Amino acid sequence: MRRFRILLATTPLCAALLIGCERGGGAPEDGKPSATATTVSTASGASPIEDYRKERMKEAMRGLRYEKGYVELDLEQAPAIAEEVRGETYEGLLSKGRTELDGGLSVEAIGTFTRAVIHNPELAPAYEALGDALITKGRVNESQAAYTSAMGVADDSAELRFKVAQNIQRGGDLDSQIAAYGRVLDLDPNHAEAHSRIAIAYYYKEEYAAAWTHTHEAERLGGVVPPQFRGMLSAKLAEPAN
Amino acid sequence: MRRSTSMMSRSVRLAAAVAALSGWASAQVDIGPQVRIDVAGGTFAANETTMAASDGNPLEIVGAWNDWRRSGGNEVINMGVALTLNGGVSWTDFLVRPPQANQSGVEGDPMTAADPRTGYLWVGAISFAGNGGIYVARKAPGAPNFEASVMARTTGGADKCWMAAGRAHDNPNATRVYIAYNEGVITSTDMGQTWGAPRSLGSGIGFLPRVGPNGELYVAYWDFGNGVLMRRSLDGGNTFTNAIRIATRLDTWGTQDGSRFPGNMRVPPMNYIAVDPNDGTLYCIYFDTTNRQNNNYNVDLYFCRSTDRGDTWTTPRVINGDGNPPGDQFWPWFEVDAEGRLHLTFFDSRHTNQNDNVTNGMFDNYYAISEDRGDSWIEFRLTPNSWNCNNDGLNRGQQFIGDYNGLAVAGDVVYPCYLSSQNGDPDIFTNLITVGGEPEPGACCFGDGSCADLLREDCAAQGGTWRFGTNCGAFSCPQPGACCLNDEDCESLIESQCLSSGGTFLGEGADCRHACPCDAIKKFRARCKDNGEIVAKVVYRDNSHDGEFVTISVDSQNFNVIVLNGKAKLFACCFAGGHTVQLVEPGCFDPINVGCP
Repeated sequence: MRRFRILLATTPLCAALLIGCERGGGAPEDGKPSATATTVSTASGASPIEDYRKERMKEAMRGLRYEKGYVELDLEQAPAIAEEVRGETYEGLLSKGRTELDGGLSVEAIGTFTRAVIHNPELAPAYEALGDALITKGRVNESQAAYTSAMGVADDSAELRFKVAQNIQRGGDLDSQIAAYGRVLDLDPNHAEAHSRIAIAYYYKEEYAAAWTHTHEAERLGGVVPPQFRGMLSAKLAEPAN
Repeated sequence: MRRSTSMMSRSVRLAAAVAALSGWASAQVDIGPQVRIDVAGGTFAANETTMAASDGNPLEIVGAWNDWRRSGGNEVINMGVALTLNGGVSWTDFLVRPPQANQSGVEGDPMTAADPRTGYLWVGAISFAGNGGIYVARKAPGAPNFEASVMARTTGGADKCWMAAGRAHDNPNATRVYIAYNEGVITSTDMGQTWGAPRSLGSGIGFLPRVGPNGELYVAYWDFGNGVLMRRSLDGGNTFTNAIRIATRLDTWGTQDGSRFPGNMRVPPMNYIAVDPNDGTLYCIYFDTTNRQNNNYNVDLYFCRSTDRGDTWTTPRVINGDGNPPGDQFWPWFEVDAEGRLHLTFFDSRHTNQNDNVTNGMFDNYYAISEDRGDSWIEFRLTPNSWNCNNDGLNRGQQFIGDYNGLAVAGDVVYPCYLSSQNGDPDIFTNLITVGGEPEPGACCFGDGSCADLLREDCAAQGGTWRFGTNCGAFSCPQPGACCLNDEDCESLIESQCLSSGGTFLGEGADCRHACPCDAIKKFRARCKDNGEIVAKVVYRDNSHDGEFVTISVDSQNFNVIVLNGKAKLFACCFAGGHTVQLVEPGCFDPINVGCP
């Protein structure tokens, strides 16, 4: 019997990522028109399009759990899947999943990477690839959980940290975004795009001097900041001498 | 320059003072009243619109949307379709479904296309089921109805498809129809009856195909991150370039996320392109966060342009007007008409002071026109009052108002197609927007690089390429250069002509004499021996031309010489004094002057 490793989450993701968290209630504000439409619903209260997709996703994701902000093996489902993939290689599954993802077959890729994780949950690449695939289906929380698990195995990749930071960027918390891209720079101080992203976050925070600092740093390192950003930043604060 | 004009309940005629902006053209914009086009859908939910028309058949316009009219207690989604055969005077609406074996309770993600060459129309969507996939139905010009639908691709994994039709890359008298979706691009060469296998474009979403005036195929898409990307095919969708970056987003969010907007619906940030049917100029519009105010995101429309088939793009800039505090502008759809004018529609929250976290997001629909290639825009509010996104007709945990808008243009008439719940329930609307004004001349470029200021029709009659909004004094026409058409042929053409002929363009001003045929030739030499014998030698890089003839002249007298073992040698006797030796065919070397004793 394989011993399944439980990986610890490093951040409370729902707090860090607004996406997927509970939003405000559905009561209309005063003074707004009220609905008179013929309202229809599904048994689940979700879109039937999503119901169909969720069924496919559910099958693809079967064997792993994400609720805690990191990837856990589903002890009810995973052993049978581990038996199914016993004859396959970890590298073969990774290769197959990457081909599927490149071909736009996101759900199939999620299924294949899930099986790769179950095949060997102590290796990082399948977690990372699973995170890549999950983001293509808008599964930001699950993607972040997969990246978190990859980092739990091997936190020595600036690119992996960059992906984590991108997910936090999607969530919109600027301070967390700056900190996350800062952790990329901890591993790779010459990561120009991390500087560029920090610059943009500071711009949104209206801390324009800091935004210029990181813009210049990104450019010094050979990176290219989005050209429209320079103009937008200049409109807020004249470019200081570099 | 941004200006905004409120829509009134009756048709209004507005002289849009674009002339003052561009110094060149002027237009009158007639915003017709709203026309509801999903009438048979009653008060059931409807959203996610698309519309198509073409100059080839300007009276026939088709719109489509996600339609819930067959729902009972539970949701049943089909593709609703509206059709007019009289230029929008009257509309009929109905459902178009896939073949029976492929039907499901969820058929959505509608798309439309129109072929400017033939006037054919298409509608299509995805049946979300294991035996579902992408289906399309076509309508011939003049036919009252759409033909039975066909499966373009049977797959359980299809997601967001869009389609386009245009001239074939290799034949101006043939049409190719394209559908782009998450699994790649599929192509039809028989007007949509049968379809090939997908050519993958890699991971992405919102693949939007567009066809240029020479049959170039462009597909824009979003990479789920910061990339606004596209790929180009010059061979009818058989091969594509690697991803070309149109722009880099400052902000990004997930496909299911709408937290940057008022309301509780998702707002996937896909990007949109359109092509000028005259000169192939490419345009892109996407929406992105400009700044934050009081913890609210200010999302705007960003515009950029490419005049080299997507290789390089202008710096993105905001093109929408706004309120104070600013609202959000999103889900643009735009087209370029035959006059080169850009027509844009989008959703807009500027008219209500609201936070991003309100449940009842209030929105309007806008139309905007640019007559100067996107440099300036005139905006018109189409909805009489803001509508509530909570009136989506659905009882879900999350609101849903679709994922995009639509707009079609035929001749001088524009048809935006959009959702509005202004009447308390989600309905689909269009307006007949007529763009008039006196035709203005523009720069007309000819194949020899010359230019004349002509009206569009006169330019076309003389075989030129017309450029809207500019003139010969301000615009430099493309200049011809060497175009290698095959191993042996070189013609002096402008780049677009060269590429549409399947050639390789060597650059403006490149001389055929020094160009492609000589790629095969290593050297051309000539000398005169002491006995007055002129020896000329052509050395090829390999033996692949053995058996062919080259033509070498001495003082304009031609000699045909066979190529053997990769060489052709001419021995001519006997001469005295100076003489000119030239490689006439292939004519790609300078003449050599030799001196004989």
